Amino acid sequence: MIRLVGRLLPLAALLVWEILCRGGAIDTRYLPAPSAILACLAAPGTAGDLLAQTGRTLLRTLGGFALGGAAGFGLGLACGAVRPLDAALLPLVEILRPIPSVAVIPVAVLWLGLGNGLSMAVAAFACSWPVFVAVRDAVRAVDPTLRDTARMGGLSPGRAFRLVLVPASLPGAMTGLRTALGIAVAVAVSCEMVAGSDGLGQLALTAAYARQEPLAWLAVLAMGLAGGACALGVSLFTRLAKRLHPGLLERQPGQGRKP
Amino acid sequence: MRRLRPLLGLLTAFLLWEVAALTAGTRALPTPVAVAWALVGLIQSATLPRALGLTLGHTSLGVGAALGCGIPLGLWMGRSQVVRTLLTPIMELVRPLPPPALIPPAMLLLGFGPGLYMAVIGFGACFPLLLAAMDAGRAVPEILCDTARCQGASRLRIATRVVFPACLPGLAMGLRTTLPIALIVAVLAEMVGGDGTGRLLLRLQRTWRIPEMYACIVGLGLTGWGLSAGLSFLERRFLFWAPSRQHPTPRP
Repeated sequence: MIRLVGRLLPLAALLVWEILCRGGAIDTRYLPAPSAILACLAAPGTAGDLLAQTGRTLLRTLGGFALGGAAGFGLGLACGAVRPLDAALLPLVEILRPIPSVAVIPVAVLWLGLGNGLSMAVAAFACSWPVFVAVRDAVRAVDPTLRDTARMGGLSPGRAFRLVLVPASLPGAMTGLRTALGIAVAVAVSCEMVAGSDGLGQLALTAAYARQEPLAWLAVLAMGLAGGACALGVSLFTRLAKRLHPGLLERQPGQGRKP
Repeated sequence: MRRLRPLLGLLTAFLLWEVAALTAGTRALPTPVAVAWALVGLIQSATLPRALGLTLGHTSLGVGAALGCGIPLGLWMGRSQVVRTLLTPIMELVRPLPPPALIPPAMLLLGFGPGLYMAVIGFGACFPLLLAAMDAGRAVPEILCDTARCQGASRLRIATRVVFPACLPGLAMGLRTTLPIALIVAVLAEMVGGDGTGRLLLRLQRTWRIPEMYACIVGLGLTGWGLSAGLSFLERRFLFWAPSRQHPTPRP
């Protein structure tokens, strides 16, 4: 019963919004009614344009996520497994990590110019950190018994790394990747706002400047849908992986403690 | 030698940067020395401190709003099953919205000013806090509350003297994830409209004062580092009952 009420609550909120707009309690010049926002979709060319811009934003997001995720994953594995490397890189990481990722945009503009590369590079920079930290911690938190068993079994260090450390660090990596994808969407949109000529961020901003409020709200809605689609994709992927390899992405007992 | 290893890595990075800057010879990559001098110049002319002060002000405005909304709501959702099932669907609907998406509507509704920063940064900073508060609220050991109830404590007293302190370590962790997000969103909002470090950064880039631009980024990085270091200092100093302090985890 309560669950049903909870599910109906968003609809009720939309309804209240609509009624307030119709009744004149909200100034529709700034906050159009939901029906007006959706009606804007019917205008010729809007739906197709919105779809194309969403595609561009998603392309940048996924490109940046792939680059940054791969970099963070590799570096995290290396730093987790090789202690001296970690000790050498730690100060550099501590210097680079607190830089707010959007502050890198002006530098990326100088190096890469305006375009897809810019958004992808900044998104990759932003989302490599959570993956790096999660993977490094996960590799370090691998149960010592597992390492010792591998060594006693006569596995060479390379094989032990491949067959024991990497699979055991996957659950930790998954949480890092999930955070990173959310960050990638946000950063891609930010890049489009600050230094872009297309994409959802630019669309929303120009529509707001041009006082096309329904279009701006529509773009915001599309950003929400893009973010939701990414989150849904990750959870579907996890479910699929669990179906194919049960236990692969589940935390082993004794794991998950911070080293 | 072991002690020197971190310094060695840093030194190598700086040398690589210096060599790369000298060989590349583009104005897009100044040498570290030039950046350091630019940083000194920016600090002496009070440009950077003033901009960073504005950014910190905006960030604290947003984080304050997020603390005010997220923590009570999160604790309430954590402590009450009914509220949790009631509000979870709407939260899950709003949560995937990337925080920058709020900038254009906030611009329309609130104009450029403190309202915009408060809304946009507050929105971005709210969800990590809310989720952390919810998890912390759910994880409060029931036995603590039952004990307090047996001693005749009122509901309000249990909430302020038992539940809130028990949740504080979890809330501190939520704040630690929130602060960098808040700083990022603050810089972005400043880039799009207004003042502060984000604006300064774009202006320096557009007027082709590249060493100053890099110095500005260094300043922002130092600010972010200072925020997280200050928070973990406060945590170590005051949260002596945090679970991570009670069972020191063995180093593998």
